[in-house]
Amino acid sequence: MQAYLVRRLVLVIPTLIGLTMVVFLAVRFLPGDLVDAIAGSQGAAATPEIRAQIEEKYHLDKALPEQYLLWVGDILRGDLGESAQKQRSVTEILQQKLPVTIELGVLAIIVSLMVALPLGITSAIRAGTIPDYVARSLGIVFIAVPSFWLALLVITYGFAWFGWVPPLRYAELWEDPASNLRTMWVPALVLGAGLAGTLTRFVRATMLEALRNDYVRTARSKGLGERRIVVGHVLRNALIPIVTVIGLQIPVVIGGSVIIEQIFSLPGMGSELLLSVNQRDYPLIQGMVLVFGFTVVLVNLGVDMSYALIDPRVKYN
Amino acid sequence: MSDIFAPRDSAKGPLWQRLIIAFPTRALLQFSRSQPLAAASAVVLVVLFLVALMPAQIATHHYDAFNVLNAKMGPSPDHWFGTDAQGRDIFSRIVYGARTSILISFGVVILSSITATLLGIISGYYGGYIDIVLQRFLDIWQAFPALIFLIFVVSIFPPGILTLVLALGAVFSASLARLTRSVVIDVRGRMFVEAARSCGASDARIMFRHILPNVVPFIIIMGAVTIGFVITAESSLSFLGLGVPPPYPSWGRMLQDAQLDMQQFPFIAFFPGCAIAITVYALNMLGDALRDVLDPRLRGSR
Repeated sequence: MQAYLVRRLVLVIPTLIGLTMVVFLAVRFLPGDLVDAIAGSQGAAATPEIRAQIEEKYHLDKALPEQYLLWVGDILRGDLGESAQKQRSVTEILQQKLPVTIELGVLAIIVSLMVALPLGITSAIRAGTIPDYVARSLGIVFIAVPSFWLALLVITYGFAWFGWVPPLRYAELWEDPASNLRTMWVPALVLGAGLAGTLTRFVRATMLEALRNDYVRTARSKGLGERRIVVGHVLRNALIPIVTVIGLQIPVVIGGSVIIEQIFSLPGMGSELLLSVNQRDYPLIQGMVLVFGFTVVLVNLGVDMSYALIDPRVKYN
Repeated sequence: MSDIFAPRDSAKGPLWQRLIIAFPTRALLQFSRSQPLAAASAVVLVVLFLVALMPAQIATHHYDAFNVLNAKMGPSPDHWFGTDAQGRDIFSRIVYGARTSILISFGVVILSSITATLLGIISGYYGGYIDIVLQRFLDIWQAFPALIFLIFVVSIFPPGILTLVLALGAVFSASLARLTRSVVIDVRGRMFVEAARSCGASDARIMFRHILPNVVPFIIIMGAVTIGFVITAESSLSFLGLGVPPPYPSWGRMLQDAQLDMQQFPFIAFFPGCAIAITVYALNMLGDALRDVLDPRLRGSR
């Protein structure tokens, strides 16, 4: 198992390097000139002085490999460069925006678990019956209803449905937790509903598989109650893959948070990314895409590692 | 010579043969009896397909015919689903939007199925260093959350259907390639592959004559399920204003346009949203049923 952990760790390194290269090259090869793009985004005409200034600031006057190494060196020092628009560093912007997105994501995952676990478990233990069909259909409905449409409906009918109005001002979690949660619970509900669909289907499939195991028959034959079997034996074994799948849902959570933050005007990473795309703020786009990519790689790594630690059968293949 | 030991699973036959032979009316009737929801979904999808094929015959108005005096009117005999902020007929825009969705999603699924099959077969069959290197590339590819990758690509390359199809195709090839690879690894170990190899069949022959036919049904099923995800992804991008450029209608863009008037005129957003939800629901239902009928091994997965 140790060999597996070491190999899994080592394999992350080329992935992270590749990730930085893709982000670096994609921005370098954008149609048109990067210097012009940055100057344009600052609303300045690209006079020779300004060009020289920008080239120096973003190391664009150097050869590509040198630019890349300088950029990676900066990243290793925790410096993601400076936004072309705002007179602030990318790291500073991230520090401010990241907590909002993380909070939204965590809340959404909690919501989706609260929906998917009961639905999926009911569906599996009553497989082939009406409750099963209802639960499965609901699961597909959650997948089919686009989260942005649901969000629009909630904004329109939110007050009538559950007396919720979109807040005028966003309050930080640690400044005013009550007000913050009042703002966040509806967006989290909408994002969580989208995740719940996939998760319900997965919980059902995993539970069905676990129910087929010999130890379930043993438990039944020694006269254990159905509830004890489901909770004590089946669910316990089904939980490991369920945890894994939650880890694998992180990219979906991140993608969904872009849309949800945009619609509910939450000041998180997602709405910031869209803003920087509209403003063609390439240094900022580059930094944020990189952070998203790193997050996914590291979460996957964490999931794989914990999987190997929990389940002794895992071997690297 | 080398075909003597080729797989002749004639007892069951390859899945695509079963699909073609087993599709006459009787089977269809049986299907609709055992899977009523899936059969209804199939009908919905056939209708949608026809709509996408000949929008001009079905739409009551031109998709971009605007009339500001007639804007934001509720459903009426003349405008079945009402009119949007510019007085354009919502029903006709949904009809033309179906074409956008079908065109893009089929383009993406075909593109990504081909890429994924090639990558999956090569990676799974050869194994070793080729496999490790290819898998690292897929890791990098998949490290970007799909929507972030799409926003990134669309922000860099000029917007349009081609950019959209290529970007979405890249996203979906990666996950399909992973799944294909796992099927190939399973097939690679079977007896008929060894038999073919001992007869001196070349790698290419084994990959494309022996392994590919066993992978194709799987790809078809996965492709069918993927279409729904592509439609959702495309409409999300269009909703963010990064999809098909205006004035051509797309369901996601219609929802974006409706955002401002949601409070007073909810019907503007109601119908395009329904179109997306019903289509994706039908695709998933049908995909599930197809999987149950064609390949019991995959039952309940994903």
